[in-house]
Amino acid sequence: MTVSVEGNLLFDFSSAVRSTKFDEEGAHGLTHCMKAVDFLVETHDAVLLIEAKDPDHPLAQARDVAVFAQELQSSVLTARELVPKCRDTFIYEWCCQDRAVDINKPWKYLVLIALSALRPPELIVLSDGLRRSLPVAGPPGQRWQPFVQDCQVFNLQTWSKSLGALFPVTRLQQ
Amino acid sequence: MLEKLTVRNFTAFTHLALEFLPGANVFIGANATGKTHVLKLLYAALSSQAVTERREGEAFARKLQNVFLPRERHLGRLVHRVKGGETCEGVIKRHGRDLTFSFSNRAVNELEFRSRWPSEIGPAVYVPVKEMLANAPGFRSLYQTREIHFEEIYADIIDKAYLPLLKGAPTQDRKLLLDMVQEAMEGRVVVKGEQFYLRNRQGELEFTLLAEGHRKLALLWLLIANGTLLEGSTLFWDEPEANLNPALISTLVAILLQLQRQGVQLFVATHSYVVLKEFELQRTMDHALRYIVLERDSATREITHRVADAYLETLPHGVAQAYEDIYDREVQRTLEGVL
Repeated sequence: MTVSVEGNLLFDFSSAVRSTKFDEEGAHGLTHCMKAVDFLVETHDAVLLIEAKDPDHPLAQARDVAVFAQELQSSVLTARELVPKCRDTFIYEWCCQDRAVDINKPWKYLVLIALSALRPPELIVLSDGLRRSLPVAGPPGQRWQPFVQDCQVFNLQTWSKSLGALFPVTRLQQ
Repeated sequence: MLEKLTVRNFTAFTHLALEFLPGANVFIGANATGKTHVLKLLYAALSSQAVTERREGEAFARKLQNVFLPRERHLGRLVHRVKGGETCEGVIKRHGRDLTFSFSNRAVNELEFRSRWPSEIGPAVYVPVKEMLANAPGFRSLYQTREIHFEEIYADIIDKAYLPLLKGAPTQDRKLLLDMVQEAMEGRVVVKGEQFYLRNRQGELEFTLLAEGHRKLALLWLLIANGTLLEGSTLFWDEPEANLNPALISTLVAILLQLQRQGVQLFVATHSYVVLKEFELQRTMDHALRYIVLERDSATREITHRVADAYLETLPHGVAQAYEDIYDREVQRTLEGVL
């Protein structure tokens, strides 16, 4: 898979070593009990778990956007979706013997929230909240091997700035 | 209300031309972009009332000397220091009428002055960055009798805070404001002698023991309760965010917007993203809100300005840029080994 669509967003993973649209029923098989991130992407030196949310979708219903905003502000999105998706994906890949990616490479969790109102200050706060909830660090004083080395929340603009050259994202319908 | 400021060769500025709204005028800028200078200049103009025009000119010159405190109080040191910048000239428009002034870089206190302002001017309040109420006892007499190196804005704000409360029950508007402040600081202010206290269920707490953020709210409470901040007054507030817990900034901005709704013209200088976003998030259609971005041009080193009536139009600016830089470095760290 080199190009993949999530909702209204087109991801181009042609520069990845391997990539898969992970949350499709056929590919996953356990979506009734395990959550899944949208994409698993392997680069030369890392495995990226990528989750995309698109509240700025041109056809999004105002009510759905309001619910999304509420969940984002109250950390419900992080607790109920972003964290379980990442953890379950990791467990799935760890258990699965026909792996989509090389699990020995460092894992990074990238969340794209296509919401232009999110500016860097809010993205910093969201990223820190996600780091604390995954978590990326173990209990104080404990030697710890984090399952995900780090994570970051992006909006479309910051994604394009940092990752646009490697994995461009385009909106299908303006 | 203040409508317009045009000034040439004043402190950091070679040229500045700003139009203000009757509501909230929010100055955004990094350090050393002249935000405080604009606030002080306007404050000095509003605080220089006198019986005759000549006296008013003298009062304005003295006020400029005292709020800016140039070396040896030489007014000329406020002239922009650049080749050809020998004279500072300015016009401040209020209620459609001009106050014009000029002074040379050799001036001690000589200032050309002409005012067509209407004589009735509502009170002007300048809240400085440093909180002073806790240190107020004895300060006024010290300031009046000794040459201490404090800008006059500090003495002025203490004078205004000591004004006795207005008689009678507050109007509904004022009560609403007082309740907002009381709820945020969990008490009300009492003055005994020259000492300020916060009175709440636990008793009376002297200001020296009070969190500095709460002292700022207490100052607002006093200015509202004693009628200084009423319709027609002007509030200048330099860095309202200083020493304030970000959680309290939401309340502070709500109070400022409420003051604005009640006819107080606001001039706020900030480099806090939280203050800026609170203004943007809390504003409604009936709030007149203008942002003035002051920046130093990296090539010419001149201070430039931009005006916007919506927050997103102010971007990019130094305050947001600081967060973007942090975010970019964070992204780089996260994506180490990926890029």
